[in-house]
Amino acid sequence: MGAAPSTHEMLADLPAWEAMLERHADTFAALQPGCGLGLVPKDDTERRPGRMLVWTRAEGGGMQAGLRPFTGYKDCGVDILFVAEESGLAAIHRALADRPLGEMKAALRRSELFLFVLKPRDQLIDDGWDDFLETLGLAFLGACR
Amino acid sequence: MNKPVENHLPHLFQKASWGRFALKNRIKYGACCVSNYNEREGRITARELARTEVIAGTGCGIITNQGAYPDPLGEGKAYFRQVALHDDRFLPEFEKIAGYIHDAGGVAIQQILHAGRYGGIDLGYCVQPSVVPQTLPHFRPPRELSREQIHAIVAQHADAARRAVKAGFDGTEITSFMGYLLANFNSKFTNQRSDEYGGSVENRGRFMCELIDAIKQATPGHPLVIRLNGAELMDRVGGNSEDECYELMALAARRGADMISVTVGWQEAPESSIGRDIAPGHWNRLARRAKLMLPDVPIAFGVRLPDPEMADRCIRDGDFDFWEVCRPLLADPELLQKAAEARMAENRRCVGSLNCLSRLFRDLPYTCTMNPALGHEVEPEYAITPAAVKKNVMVIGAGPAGMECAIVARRRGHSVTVYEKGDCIGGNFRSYAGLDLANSDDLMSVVRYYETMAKKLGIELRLGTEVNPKLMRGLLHQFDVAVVAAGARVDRQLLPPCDPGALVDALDAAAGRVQCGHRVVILGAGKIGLTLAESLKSRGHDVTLVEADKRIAGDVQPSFKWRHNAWVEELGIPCLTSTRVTRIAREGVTVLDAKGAERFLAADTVVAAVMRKGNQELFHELEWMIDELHGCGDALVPRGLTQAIHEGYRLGARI
Repeated sequence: MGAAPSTHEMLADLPAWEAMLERHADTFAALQPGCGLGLVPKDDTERRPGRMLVWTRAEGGGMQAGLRPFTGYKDCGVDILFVAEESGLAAIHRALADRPLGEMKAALRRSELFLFVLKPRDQLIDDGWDDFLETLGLAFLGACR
Repeated sequence: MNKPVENHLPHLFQKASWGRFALKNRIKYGACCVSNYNEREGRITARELARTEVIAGTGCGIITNQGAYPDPLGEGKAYFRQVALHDDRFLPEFEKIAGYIHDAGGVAIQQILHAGRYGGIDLGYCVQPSVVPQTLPHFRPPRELSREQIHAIVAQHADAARRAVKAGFDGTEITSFMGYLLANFNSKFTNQRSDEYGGSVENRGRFMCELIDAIKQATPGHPLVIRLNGAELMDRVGGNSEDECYELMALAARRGADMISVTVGWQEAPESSIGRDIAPGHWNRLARRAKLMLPDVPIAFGVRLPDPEMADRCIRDGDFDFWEVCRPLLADPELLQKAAEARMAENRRCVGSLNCLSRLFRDLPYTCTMNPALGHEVEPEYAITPAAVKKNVMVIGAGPAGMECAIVARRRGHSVTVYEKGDCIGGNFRSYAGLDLANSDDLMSVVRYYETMAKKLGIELRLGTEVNPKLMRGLLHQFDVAVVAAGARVDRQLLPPCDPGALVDALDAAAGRVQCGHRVVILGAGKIGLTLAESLKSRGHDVTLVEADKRIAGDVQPSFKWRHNAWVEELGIPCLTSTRVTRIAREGVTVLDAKGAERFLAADTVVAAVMRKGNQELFHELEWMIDELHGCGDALVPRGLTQAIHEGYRLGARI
């Protein structure tokens, strides 16, 4: 049994992320070209630059995975940003071939994954994020609990 | 006429002093909700004035008027129709509100609410100490405040406080409840500044101290209340720990705050703070801690503490000094009178449905499930006035719609008889309420309220009596009015043909008229299917939900959708969404998913919880048998408790 991958090895495992995105193409089918989601390890939010995994809707359709520097919330260039504890990222990475979105949902509930939205609600709806956010069980319209 | 009960709730109704003010009791009306009844530019409307006149009459010793934003640009504005206090032109209406409160013998406090992270509702951005993006898409993208802007905001708060006092208010309040600007500065989550306003607790609390200083200087001799979190519930995502919250509280006290109101949670907190799923009294420990730490500072508290008897005990035990209450008084403005007279069985209890807040997040004025008149006080059509012609009214169905209609009609002087085919009041709602995982007692209180009021008002109940044309022929000319409030049933026509006896109605299962086997498949994951599934699963059944829509909880209130999603996850109930049923047999169901894959789900019991249809047959059958025929609630269009109560009320007020 090999050593567990490091945080950056998990982020850089692009073929596995892309295979997952292809399997879940339906969830992202409504997304507009150019829309993107970022996934940053929590430690990297305090580094300049940190590393960010990005899922982007390609011009010709389909989702692509890539890496980008994370230079802060202000200019991160994605619509939605997930900040992950190492344990959360590891759990999602382990589940890539199985139920990664279910694991993301569970990590959100365990507070090992935290969501930021960088566009207003109407724009997110227009851009087609509604389905994905609902899949994760997020209260899309805001909630006072 | 009920006699006042001597010594009932003596601590709550004890006279008190607060600085130079003599208070008639230890109850503070909390400005916990913004009504959204006002003009877009912040001027108070006649609708708002009528509502606040009712609030002033609740009998609270201190009344806090809802939060006004202090800046002309609207960066502090959280709600579309929030009131503004950045200009003297708004003052005439504030003067009226202060007058209502004083006329009722209360001390008038005006809350100044700069929403910070949740503000800028009319703008394309919000302002914060640091750029920390939103976690809820309802809110606006953030901009970082400069030092100069911070100083300007402090000055705007002081000006707003000065205006409030000029309008006749006795004091002011600032708030960090729910994650507004003050909370944004106090919290590590949103304050990541490296200047003198960020870093240590003392630095993060600098903005709060400057607000306290500026407001107290602007309004000398007038008390300042500060609402501070005892727990943000944001600590797991980088916010303050409880210890840090109390350090900030101590700082506010040292700086001269005249009262601290202890609050809980942010709007985006990943756990509940005020919903029905939190047990009453759950957060009392936070007030106790504040009181122990600051014995000389008046402490107000009321988060998820809807019960005056519990509040009385807390004051007796020294947990806090003032019960701060809002939503229970929205549900029943006569709560304090009823509590003082030991008539709590007649109280319309706040059921924590969060209808009020769900509507605010849709940019709508708030309403209350339990109080259909809330927000309509200015409209005579909602007043319960003596009927010009006294009539004999029959109400068919003793669910919430029927009972609400019966009570209002009876209070207007009509003679009312309720016919119910079941053996008790409550209709289908009673079964549903009994299964509620959040707080069954809250929902059952609705049924108990109807039982009490029927008895008190002399409404005749004919239980175990099904109304049909045959019965009506025997009753001809006894009634002037019939109200069909017969509820709804599952619409089996939406399901494929099934083997005889293979399908159980969810409402029969919920009522216990049918016992479910171990393996249960529930068709439909709306609120009825979910509530039944959660209850069965928590009692050890093996449950699967099948939903044709791509999401569950489609008919659940926005602020409770996440709760059902979380329960389904926590209980491990499989939910097959975008899945159609193709065959129902005694052994189980065959289903087809969105990709066309078919599978068989074995079950001992298959339950139908799909769309319901109104029980409307009586509309046709009674049409030529009675002078006036009306309908209300699910019998017209199946929806939920709020609509049933509101329609019943409106009809009762009109007959």
